[in-house]
Amino acid sequence: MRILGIETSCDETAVALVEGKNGRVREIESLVASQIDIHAATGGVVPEVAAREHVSAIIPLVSTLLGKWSKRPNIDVIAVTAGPGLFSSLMVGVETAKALAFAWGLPLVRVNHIEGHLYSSSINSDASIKFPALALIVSGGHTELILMKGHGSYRLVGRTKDDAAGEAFDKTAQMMGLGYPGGPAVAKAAVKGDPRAYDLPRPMLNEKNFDFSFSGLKTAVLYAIKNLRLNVDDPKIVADLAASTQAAIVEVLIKKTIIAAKKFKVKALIVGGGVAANEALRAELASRCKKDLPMVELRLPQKRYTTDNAVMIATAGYFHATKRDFISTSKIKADPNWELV
Amino acid sequence: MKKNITIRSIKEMNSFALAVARTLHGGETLALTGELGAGKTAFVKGLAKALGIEQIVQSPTFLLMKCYPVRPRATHRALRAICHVDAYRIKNERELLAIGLAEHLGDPQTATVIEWADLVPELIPANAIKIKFEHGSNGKERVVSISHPHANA
Repeated sequence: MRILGIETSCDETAVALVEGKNGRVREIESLVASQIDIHAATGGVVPEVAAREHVSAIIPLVSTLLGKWSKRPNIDVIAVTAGPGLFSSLMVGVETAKALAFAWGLPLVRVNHIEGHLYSSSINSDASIKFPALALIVSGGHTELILMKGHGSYRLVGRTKDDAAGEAFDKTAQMMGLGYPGGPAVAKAAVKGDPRAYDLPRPMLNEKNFDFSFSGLKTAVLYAIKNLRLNVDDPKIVADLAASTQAAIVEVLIKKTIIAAKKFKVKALIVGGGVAANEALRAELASRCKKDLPMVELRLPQKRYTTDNAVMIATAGYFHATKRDFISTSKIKADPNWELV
Repeated sequence: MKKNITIRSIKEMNSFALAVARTLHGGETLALTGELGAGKTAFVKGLAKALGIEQIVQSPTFLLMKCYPVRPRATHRALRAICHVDAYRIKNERELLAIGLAEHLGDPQTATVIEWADLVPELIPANAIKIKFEHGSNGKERVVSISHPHANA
């Protein structure tokens, strides 16, 4: 089964083609708007802002992906992100998917953006997910723990009460003068730093729930800089502070995830979202899993599937399609507040 | 009217937000300014709570904009939604307009709250409720100054 995936929920306009067979999904091709020359594709000068708009990017992307079609292309299903996200952005993807599904007479699947991240570790993987599984979705906009009893069966176990983990990386990076995007910048600076140099809080670590909070950690880093009069132009200080910040974020994420994994007796631990590219998180999770959850399979996505992409949407779409979980072109709607669970 | 208030806890932040919420009837723009961690999102959480919004208000920095429905209440007249916007990550006004902010800004049924409003001065109407958040003398304290066009918030 070949699935065309479309993702436009936030900043990126992305399309992808995957092949799904016997519960395994392989990427055929994937395109993200920021990677191709939209100016050339649209044949005109596109201002910086318009280039970010999905409207101008989506058709050139689909046409580049599938080649110049004169008849129905070789695909079986169209999967599109219908939420959560920005309404106007989602609408571009949904309306495009609707039009293509109608024109080509193809079944349509609606995918939740978070569900896409949940399936990002299944792309190009030979092992299918063992259930029950626990998923930690960590990105700039999301920090959630989701229990999966099967494909399409989700239960929210915990979430951030304020800032997402990725946002904590970004905003503390800004305070340390490390630039944007903050996640990779903090991780890079942290390599030479001492994670125990600064005593930062581990928010909500001792509360008996699986919710997160990173707003206080952000403020704690700010006060450490102010009160200790830290010179953020000194690479040694920045390295230590970055390492301490990263350690605090990683520890909270992992401890809560491990406790939840034990409580729900899961067989697989899934990680997804932009922060899943963080090396410290990956390494620490691998070692903690080995020690505390030896029977649990840790499923980490390939790094290129951690940021927003359409391969993960097409992959999630495949599992819906195998259950014939389709939606008609007249019923699908962009839903900016669509909660997976 | 203009006013400076010292806030010493989340509880006091919520009381302040409740007082501001009482002045909202729909159509307002709330322009929030202040550095990282100064209390902008905490204020919006309080505002949402005061308006009976049950969803958890998370930081909109990455999502850029999130709208929450408000149940009709006589005291808030036309107000039916809070639109929570964050300009921290954007480069100019047009980007927020490109994601559909124009539909909400000044809409008589919506109160639009913009964090990092100083980054998008052209979007802020003259009659906006301007609230500035500053760090206080210790970690728990915040100083808030509000400039409200009419109400006695």
